[in-house]
Amino acid sequence: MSGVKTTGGKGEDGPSSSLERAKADDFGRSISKIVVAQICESVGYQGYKESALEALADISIWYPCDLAKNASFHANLAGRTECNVFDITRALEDLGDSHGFPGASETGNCLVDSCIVKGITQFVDTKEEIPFAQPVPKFPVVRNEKLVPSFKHMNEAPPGKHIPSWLPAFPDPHTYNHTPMWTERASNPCADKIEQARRQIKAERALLRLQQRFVLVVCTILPKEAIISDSIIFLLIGDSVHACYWKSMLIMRGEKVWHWLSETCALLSYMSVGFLFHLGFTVFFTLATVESLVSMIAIGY
Amino acid sequence: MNPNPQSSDGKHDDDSALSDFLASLMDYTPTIPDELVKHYLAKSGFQCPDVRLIRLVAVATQKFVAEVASDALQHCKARQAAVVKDKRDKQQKDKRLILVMDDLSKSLHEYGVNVKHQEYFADSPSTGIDPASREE
Repeated sequence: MSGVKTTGGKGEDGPSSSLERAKADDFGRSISKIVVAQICESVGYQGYKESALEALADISIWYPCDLAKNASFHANLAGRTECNVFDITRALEDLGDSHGFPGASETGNCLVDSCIVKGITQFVDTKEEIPFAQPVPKFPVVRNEKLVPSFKHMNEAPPGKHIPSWLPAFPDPHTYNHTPMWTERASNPCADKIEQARRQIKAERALLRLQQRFVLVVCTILPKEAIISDSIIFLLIGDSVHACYWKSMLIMRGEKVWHWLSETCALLSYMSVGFLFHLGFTVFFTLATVESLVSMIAIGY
Repeated sequence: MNPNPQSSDGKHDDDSALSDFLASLMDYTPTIPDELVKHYLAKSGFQCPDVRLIRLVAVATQKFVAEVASDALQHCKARQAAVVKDKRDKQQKDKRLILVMDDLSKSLHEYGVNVKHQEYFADSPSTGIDPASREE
């Protein structure tokens, strides 16, 4: 059969539509569609419309399902779990009742000579065999499941006498024991800022102390001119604290004139600029110290 | 009594006929593959290890579908014959027999299955949209 999808059916290939999702029974349905197409071809059709084929495929799925339900019902009625040929015959008669079959009106008929079975026998004898076009694998595919090992398997004793050893083992204690958790500190932005400021002040003080030590070590070695120039620079830029240090050095060196000058300028700078520059020029002082050190080393050589 | 021995003989024949038929089923390969039938029977709660009964179900289904298809074919041929009768002057085209929803619903109606079909089908999801806005 050419299987031409004529006008009215889908123009494109079936699975190209991105909206369609693969359903669980797609494999069985597609096989049923091929089966129905083969049967239609044997009957005499030369083409089909997609919708009609799908409807007939649905019927070909529904019919054996209904037959099976009916047959299992009759088997259960007789107190059996497995069906036999008579259950199927009864189910066939039930399904054929709507259409009618010879012998339907007769009661007390033995199932062995049921007319439906005879009709099927006739069908098999007259119709030529049309095997399915392609080999069909066994489906649905059963995946090997990982089962939870039993107590016996794990060589563990069940925690209670009421628990048999062939049951699945309990999970390991570490999966359900309560362990102390890290308690999250509630963030306090105010306190954090205060703490930060305190640490900053501490660091600055430490740095100043270091500078002090540095200066004391250097002042005895450095020439007078270098000290004076540096102190003037600091006075001019308003670094009163550092100016005071240099001033103290001058006092130690006994330079009275410069002492008066430095005092005045320190006062002026203190009044004019203020402490704001102090922090910023800490770096500057450090660099100046380094420069003095370098010059000292150069003098030494 | 007289009827009894006859009926018992008849039953014996019927028994053998049935068992012969079931045996012959093993030689006959139905169009519906065994695996498919087994899958759907298992889904419906049918438990039977006997392959012959599975073949019986397969053959019964095949017979049913073939009957429906042949009835639909009759409807199709009748429709074509009616059309040709009306327009004899037109050249007779080699009309192919196509399985259509109309014929199928008519034949299934006799078997108690109501299949309703849509009046028309759209070729693509964008059918019917204003052509200016449709993306080509």
